[in-house]
Amino acid sequence: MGWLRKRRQGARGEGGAGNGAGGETAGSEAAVDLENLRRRFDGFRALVESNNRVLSVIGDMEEKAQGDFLFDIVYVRRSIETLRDGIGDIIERIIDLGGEPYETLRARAQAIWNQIDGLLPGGRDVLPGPFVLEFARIGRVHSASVGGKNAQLGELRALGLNIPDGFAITTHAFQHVLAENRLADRIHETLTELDIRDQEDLERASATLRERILTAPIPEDLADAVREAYGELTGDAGPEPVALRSSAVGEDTLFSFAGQYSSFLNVPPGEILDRYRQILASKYSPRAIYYFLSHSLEEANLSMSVGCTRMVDAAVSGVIYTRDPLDPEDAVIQVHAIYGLGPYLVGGVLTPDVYRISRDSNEILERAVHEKGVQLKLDAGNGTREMPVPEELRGRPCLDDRQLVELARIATRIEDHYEHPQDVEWAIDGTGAIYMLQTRPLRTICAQPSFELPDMSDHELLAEGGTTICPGAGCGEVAHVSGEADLAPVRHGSVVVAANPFPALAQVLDRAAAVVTEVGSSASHMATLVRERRLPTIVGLVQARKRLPAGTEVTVDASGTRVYAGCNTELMQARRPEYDLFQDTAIFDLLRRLLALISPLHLVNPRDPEFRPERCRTLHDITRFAHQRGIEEVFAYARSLGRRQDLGVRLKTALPFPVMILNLDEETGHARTKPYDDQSIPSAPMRAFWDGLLAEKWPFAYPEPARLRVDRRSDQGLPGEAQFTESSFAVVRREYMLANLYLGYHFTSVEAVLSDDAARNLIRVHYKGGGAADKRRRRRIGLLEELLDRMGFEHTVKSDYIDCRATGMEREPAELNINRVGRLVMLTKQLDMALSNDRITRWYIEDFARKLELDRSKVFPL
Amino acid sequence: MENLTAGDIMVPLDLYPHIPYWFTVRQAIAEMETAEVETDGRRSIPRVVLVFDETYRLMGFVRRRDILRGLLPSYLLEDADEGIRSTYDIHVDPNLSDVFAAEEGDIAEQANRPVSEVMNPIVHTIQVTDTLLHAVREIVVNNVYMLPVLRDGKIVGVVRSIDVLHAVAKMVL
Repeated sequence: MGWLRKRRQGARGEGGAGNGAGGETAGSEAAVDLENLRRRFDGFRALVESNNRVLSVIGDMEEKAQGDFLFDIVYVRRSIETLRDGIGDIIERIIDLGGEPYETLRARAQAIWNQIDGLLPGGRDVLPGPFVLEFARIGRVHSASVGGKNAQLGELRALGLNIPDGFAITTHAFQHVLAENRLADRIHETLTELDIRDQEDLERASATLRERILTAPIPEDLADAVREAYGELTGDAGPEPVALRSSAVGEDTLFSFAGQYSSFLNVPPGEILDRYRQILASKYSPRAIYYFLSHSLEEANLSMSVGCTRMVDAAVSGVIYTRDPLDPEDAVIQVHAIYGLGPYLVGGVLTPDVYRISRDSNEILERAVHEKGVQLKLDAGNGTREMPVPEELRGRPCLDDRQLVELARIATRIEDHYEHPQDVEWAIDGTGAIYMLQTRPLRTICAQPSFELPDMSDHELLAEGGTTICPGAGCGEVAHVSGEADLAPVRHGSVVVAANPFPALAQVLDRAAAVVTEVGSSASHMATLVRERRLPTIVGLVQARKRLPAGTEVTVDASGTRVYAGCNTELMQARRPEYDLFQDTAIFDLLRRLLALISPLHLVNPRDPEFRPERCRTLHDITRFAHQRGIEEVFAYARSLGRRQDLGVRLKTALPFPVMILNLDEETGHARTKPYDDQSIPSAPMRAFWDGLLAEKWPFAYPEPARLRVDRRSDQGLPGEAQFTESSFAVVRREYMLANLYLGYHFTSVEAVLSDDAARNLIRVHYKGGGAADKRRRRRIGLLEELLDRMGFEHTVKSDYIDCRATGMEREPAELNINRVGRLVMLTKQLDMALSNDRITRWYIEDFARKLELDRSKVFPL
Repeated sequence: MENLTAGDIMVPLDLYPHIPYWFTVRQAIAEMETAEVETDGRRSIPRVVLVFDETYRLMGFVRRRDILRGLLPSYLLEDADEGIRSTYDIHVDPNLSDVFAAEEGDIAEQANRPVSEVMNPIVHTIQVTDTLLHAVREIVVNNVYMLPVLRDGKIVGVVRSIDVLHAVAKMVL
């Protein structure tokens, strides 16, 4: 009361110092201040709305990541865009409220978005840019303009590894080709009408689209740019053939597109533009269309870049898996190698040598050397040609120990850089120089072999051997395929048996129950694709076609590399837990990786010195940070006003401490001056809160003087008696309250939204301090923690500070809990004093739980 | 040993049960029932709970018998304001309680009285630097069970008769 009087006097004093006009000025200043405060509050409320929206999207994504709901890339994109809007809004709002200290949030958010966009397949609009970019100027951040393969090559180059010199023809160039020839709409139309499950329809659409691209002229400005870049690449050495490789946007993400697009080796200068167009057209090959449509990837976002490099005349080439894809925990590097050029390996023509090298000691643990009768070599001047491998080399390892150790060293370096297992293509030329040709994330599967398998001894074993590419078991009717023409008749649920894992097999993978091939290795493109689909697959099972006649029913035990006659559902069931059909698809993996950048909360405690914008590592951190600081900024402003003038209207209450209410719903210029009373509080949540405070008695029973015969030493207590009723105030709206109370020595701030919309409802309590010894204050916080926990609040506690919140409650339980918070605030007033030990604390917890009807059974579910 | 002061033998305030004045008799009972004072590895049930005001000034104390007295319906008490001695000199026949059919419910109701209604004022205190002998004298002469110990005018602990006795025991045994 003294505080209030003093303030009033202060206000009068100011007015009295001037004349009558001065008084009016003070009044209009007050109106301006109020208007400013209201504006800030509106900003803060909008921040809270965005915060809630962001949190609800994050919650939904987390739920989807549990694997119980289906979703597609459209869902992921939409969620990401909602987050982008929300986070952007939150950051601008907090900067508006608090200014410059918060501007670093923009950079923090941008850094997180860059990572998120890097995971999304082609989520980025193609911005106008150069038609060509040298590798020297490319890093992985450029994948939107140069595609995955080129971007990673630039990254490897920057890492100091050897790559062939070259340049990228950008996605912008591709868009230019489409735009100049007015193709974008026609492509979209054709794809929209397409039924990808209909093989003939797929082939027809593909043929139409490829024809359109192949007949479209390359715009002259683009052709000039390519010629100029080629001239710079070859320099004075004169014309030489180059390699042209597809580099699609998104292929460096979890969507592999392995081997879906064309590449051309040994291309003479005069054919570069034609080959370039062919690669663009391969974006619409049946298997590529099938791939992106079946993964719900939006065609329009999948742009195509092409890499143009000097030819590496490979003596040996191959693939490194920086981990064993079926046992990624094992510290082993796998090197697959053949003589000649790489396509005979990744295309599944040959069974390569496979070496296993210890990651730690670089010791060569295992060499599986295969007969390599042929190799792919550069033809004189143009293209490639199959040639026999000299007799004496066929059965020998194509890599020596020194080369293996060098490759292992490079593999470790690359994996360390990407912090993820990698699938690396490489080549060694005639001089022994090692070139990196590509790197992308390696898809791994953790097979868990510890399952009870049924006794198969009385089942006829048809074939045994080969290599597990993807574990599991599947049964169906055998379908033999040896080329693209055999694909259309393959029925759903077939066991596909092929001579080799040729790339077009991709089109039937979704119809297959299992795949068996006679040659091949785990390093082929098809291997990547079947692992992506969790399709039980064995490669290198000799004479598979002979042993498994077309039309017979078989069970492929891919994990055990055996094929049995008939259909054995028991075995399939037993193998089932080894993989999950949905959870490990690329889209699910993508969501999980995105969530790692979105949902973990590192900034939990506002009192922590680490609670700073620079420490925001996820989007959740950003919104948490901004929300917290938003409250503080608004109140700091409100308090700065409160010292200078009366703010709001007094609450005439049965409780003996002054409270000012600022009603933000009031129209400017019609500010109420008449005090509110306990019944006329203009805010639903504040009424509930106040009823709670009133329900617990305030100590009126100050002892009669007769009982205070003592000399009450005035200096006995804690200093600053007046402080204990300092400026309690509440900022309210009809459905909102933010109340700051100083009762005794503790500070309580309660924020609440109470409406019919459960998603908006919020109760937020901050509680801090006390007059008793530290231990007792902490006991009181412990008591609050437990009771609020029983009420369904989330909380963080540090020492004698608690911050807790409940969200998403329906109106009725929310109202009850706001009321309980009011009662708790009163019940715990100076309770710290009484909490001399843990047992009494426990007694109070149970006593208050009874009073507040917090038996566990009565707690409202969230 | 002769240099022992009140500060050396007192129970520090943060180990001693205390409550604010508006707490109920019921809460004072809870404090007595659950609080244990631990000194020198010995535990004891507190016989007295200190009472403070909002600004942490010591206002008074309540003993077991004050609490019990506070639980009695007023019609069983004569001379209520006479203070401590009257609790021993009951002139009303206790069997009257049967006549008035007092029930447990009455006790529960009485237990909700504020503790300030049954507490005793602090009359005697000692300073943290006072000697053991001074503490013994204050306890004996004033016939009290415990003394608040002040430093610079602020309470920092209490010295109970048992604490004094322990200190003396170490000297003489």
